[in-house]
Amino acid sequence: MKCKLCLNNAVIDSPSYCKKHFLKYVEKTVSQTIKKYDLLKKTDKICVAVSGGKDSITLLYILKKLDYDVEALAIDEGIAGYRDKTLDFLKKFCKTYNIKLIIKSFEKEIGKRLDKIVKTGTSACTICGTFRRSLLNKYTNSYDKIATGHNLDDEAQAVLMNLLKAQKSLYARQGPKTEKRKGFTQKIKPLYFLKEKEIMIYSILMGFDVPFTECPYAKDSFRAYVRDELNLLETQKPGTKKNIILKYLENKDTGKNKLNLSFCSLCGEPCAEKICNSCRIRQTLGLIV
Amino acid sequence: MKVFIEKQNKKVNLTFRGTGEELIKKLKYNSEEVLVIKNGELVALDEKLSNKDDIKIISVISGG
Repeated sequence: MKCKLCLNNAVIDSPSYCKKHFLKYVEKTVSQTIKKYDLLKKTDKICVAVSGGKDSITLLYILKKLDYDVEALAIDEGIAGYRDKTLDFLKKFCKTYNIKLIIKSFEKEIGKRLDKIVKTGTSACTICGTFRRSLLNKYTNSYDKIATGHNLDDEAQAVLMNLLKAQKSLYARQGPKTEKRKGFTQKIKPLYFLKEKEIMIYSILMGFDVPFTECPYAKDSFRAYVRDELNLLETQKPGTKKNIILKYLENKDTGKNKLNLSFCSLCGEPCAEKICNSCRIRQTLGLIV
Repeated sequence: MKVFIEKQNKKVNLTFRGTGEELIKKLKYNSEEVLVIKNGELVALDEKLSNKDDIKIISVISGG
């Protein structure tokens, strides 16, 4: 197969592009998403939430290339054999590209590593997500935006997951950016229109050499099930993922996306109840009184 | 053909002639979830593969 823009061999089938034109396509898609959804101003100070995986690494690299003021924040949940590998890679990557990297750990900030919390029989993904979101917000007060590496696959999965769980309030809160709310740093998703496969190809062609890692707790998650079903559907009906996202954006009703927020009486972070989810779980685990 | 499957950290020897897409199907993978590296180079799925080729099947899905 040849590139649809030149005579070179294609490295991807759909869209069929050679290396040079594919790299341009990815970077252009990010720029267009930023512009169309007004995600960033050139003066913004941006914190990229990084895991050390291909998505956050690609996002960090492209935002830096587009000349934005970026720093990186990684959360070390304390997952042996997984997070330590990605953090090592992340440290090297940030050094190479001269990007400031901040690392905050569950052990220091929450009081326990995730591995130890899971031993108590608590569900890993729910706990991990809650603590990660909480720490991410806590340590990004001084930034204008938090950029995350969520891609088209992640977002199509999230739409389906919320539909399957009939979580209307969460359904209304998705999209390329969160609304501006007191106590929260605004989150943006510049990779919103790029498929996971496209980001993987970009990271290979750029020679990022991201290590292959899988979270040991993610295998049996609800998301993994939805992801597998959606991938099956995409091969049978190409374009399904993008259609889900486009239809979602068309139907999204931002007017109903209002929560009455207060601030946690224990840690001061914004939340919908008297005590935030993170402190509630820490109380349950006996990490705070 | 020597095939290395990254996700399972497994090497297999196959007698195979066909495209990358056909190899993925034979190995029972989904083309949304893997990429084909032929002799060290990323290739489109319609690329013809032969028994002399060194193939790596890498997983698109990683992380959590």
